[in-house]
Amino acid sequence: MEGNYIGLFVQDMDVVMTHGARSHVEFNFLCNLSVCEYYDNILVRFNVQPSIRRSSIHIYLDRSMSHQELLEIFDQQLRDWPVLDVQELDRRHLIEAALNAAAYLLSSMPPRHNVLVFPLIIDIVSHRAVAMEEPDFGMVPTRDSSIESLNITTAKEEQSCPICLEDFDLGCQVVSMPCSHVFHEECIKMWLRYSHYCPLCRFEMPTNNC
Amino acid sequence: MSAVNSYTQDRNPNTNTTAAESPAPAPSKQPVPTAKTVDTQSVLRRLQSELMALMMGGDAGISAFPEEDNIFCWKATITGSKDTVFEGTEYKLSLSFPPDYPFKPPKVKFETSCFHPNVDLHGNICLDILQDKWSSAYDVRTILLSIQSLLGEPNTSSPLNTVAASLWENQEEYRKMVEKLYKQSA
Repeated sequence: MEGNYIGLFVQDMDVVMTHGARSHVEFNFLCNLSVCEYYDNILVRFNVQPSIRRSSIHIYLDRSMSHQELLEIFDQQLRDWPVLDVQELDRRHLIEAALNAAAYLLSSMPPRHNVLVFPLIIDIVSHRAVAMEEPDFGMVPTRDSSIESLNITTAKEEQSCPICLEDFDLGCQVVSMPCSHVFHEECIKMWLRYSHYCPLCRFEMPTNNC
Repeated sequence: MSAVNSYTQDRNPNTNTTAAESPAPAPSKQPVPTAKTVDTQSVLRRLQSELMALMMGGDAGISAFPEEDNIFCWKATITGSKDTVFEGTEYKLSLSFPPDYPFKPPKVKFETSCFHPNVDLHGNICLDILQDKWSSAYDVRTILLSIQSLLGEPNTSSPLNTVAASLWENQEEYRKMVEKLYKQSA
């Protein structure tokens, strides 16, 4: 669950082009940080961090640098990149991606528009699992095989599911527990992954421990 | 290469650190990993249906309503039952629902201080149905009714408030204490 997602986006609509010799490329990096927090794999919070850092890299192309040389320049410039938890490999990928984007845009430029400013936006999204107090509340799940072998029937009478509180559609798939209590198949299967008791009468289903 | 990196690459084999030629979708729209996921819509429907039932039901001595802009947080009130030491007092509570409600219980707290063996000084409640005895068939109404009856029938064998637990035997003194603290908090 925990980890970073890093995306580098080129907003090509905003690439600034001016007339002149093709001599100068400026990369404007903008870093957006955000944190996604998950609880049990469910996104519960999405925070955009206030810290946004800009950094510009100027490259004079008439020096006809090699790809390797360009990489070095980028690497130096982004050495102190302030992003949280960015691993070295991710940083390398970012630089490569920025160069590839630049190469693509340069090759597709009309010939007389030669001085370029590339706004490059890096979105770094941190994914974190958050723990809540007593995450399982001492509940013991039902054994998987017992969930799979539940008796599935179709809804007959006008009743509602005690879990989602919604009425059964006539003929929809429902589960009749060994204690005869009836629930939507999805609802009861989800519940039994948390608990081994019937929600209505506390009839005990088998657990992995017995 | 760390585990974090391999995670990133496994999940986003095509989008990880790639340059897009056109504005790319916002990363917030990345699909959420699926496992034991509960559909938010169904949680909302369930909470709305509970709210309707509460408003139609008209149970005496309990009420609950969502906060202005967040249906996952409710404010509730409970009045002390007749013929108990809590008669004539009213307590505010807060309920916050987990994203996988009703498969997990809401967190319920007293917001008004409550002198009770099973309520601590921060308003936390020790009640089995809000913990290991939780059932997905319980709802706000049954929770509030349970707390209301807990007021008059505390479990003094494992108290959070030991002072309240030891005073419980003397109902007359207890009543005086409840009245005194209730006036202070009001």
